[in-house]
Amino acid sequence: MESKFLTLFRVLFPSWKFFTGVTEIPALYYRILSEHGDAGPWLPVLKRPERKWYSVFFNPEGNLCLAVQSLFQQVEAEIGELEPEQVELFEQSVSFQLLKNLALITLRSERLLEPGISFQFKLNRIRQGDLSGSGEDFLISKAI
Amino acid sequence: MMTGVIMNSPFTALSAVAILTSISLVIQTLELLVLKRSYQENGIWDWNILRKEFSDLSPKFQTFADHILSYPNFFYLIWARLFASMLVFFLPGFLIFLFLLFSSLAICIRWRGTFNGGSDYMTVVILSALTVSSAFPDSEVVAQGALYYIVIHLCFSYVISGFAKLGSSEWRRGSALLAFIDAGTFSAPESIRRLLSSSFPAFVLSWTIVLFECAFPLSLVNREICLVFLLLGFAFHLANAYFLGLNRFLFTWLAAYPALYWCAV
Repeated sequence: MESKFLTLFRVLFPSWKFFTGVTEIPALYYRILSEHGDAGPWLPVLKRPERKWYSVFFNPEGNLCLAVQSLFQQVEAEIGELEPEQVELFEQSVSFQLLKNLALITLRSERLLEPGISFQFKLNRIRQGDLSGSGEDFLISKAI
Repeated sequence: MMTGVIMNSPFTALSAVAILTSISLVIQTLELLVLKRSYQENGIWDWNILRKEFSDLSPKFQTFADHILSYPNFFYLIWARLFASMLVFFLPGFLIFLFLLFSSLAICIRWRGTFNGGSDYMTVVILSALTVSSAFPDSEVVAQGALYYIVIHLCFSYVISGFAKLGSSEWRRGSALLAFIDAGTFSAPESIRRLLSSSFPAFVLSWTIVLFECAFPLSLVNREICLVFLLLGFAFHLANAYFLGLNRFLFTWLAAYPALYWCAV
């Protein structure tokens, strides 16, 4: 409880370490499963917004991306703290529900939600700046 | 010369901080209004999911959070924050700053800690200083204390980051910048990728950033040196806003700069 309280109020305890070293960062992917269980390719949930002439001053879409990226990092930290017996319970956590929500919103916006279709999502760890996009999976959801 | 004379008063320096902070808050708040879909019902940060996060906290706090952070009340809070930010131009005072501090904390809690990391930290630091100083509007000592408080955090924000970078082999070699730009919010312009792919320019630019951050407290030596650091800082944050999408850092850090200039001997 104390750690949850500290997380919620962490803005009161500033951390000034920015871009201190190249690390691995999490990325969220989803894939469609057909009625027969055939799986489509893994596709990234987060798409880079287009840079506009005013983005230096006003950048809502870019800041939304950064907030989503923070969500992934928070989930990664939470998973890292889980005991083996808590892994099943993670699906009921707020973090997992938010990821599921994000994947659902992406599917809706791509008009991919059709009757009989299910989907999966996964979090994958990639090295910053690695444009090949291949990394290690550390969370794969069941078919939803 | 004129600027120097005007900025000798801590009250004037605090007023400059307040005006720049209000500009920063107007931008931040307009962005949140545009992003309404992300926190309304069925949005990514749907309160119906998030409220579970508060289940371990006291029932009173849960009720309070439910009132403030649920949709559409949270949306109204953001509108109120926009008006309060604009009021700072005309009517800066304790209640306005207290409300801006409270609403900034509420926004951070709604996003489970922070919405935009470092810029939220600095916003809260500055608003805390403005709130306390406006509670004692005639006290020069409190005004000076508020300015020093901002400056200490401002210097820490560069120095801690700078020394942490010194410990990274990628920063020392010059390869970190390309990795960060490739991982940034926007796609990197090809010309910049080419420049940073060459080892010498990347090396020089990396060390310029690291040395600028580590040496930042030297800006307090005198006002001429301070101006040089402020110009370098502005260019640094402008580049971060353009390449990494960190526009909020640009405006929030700029808001703290009059405090630094006042503190410079």
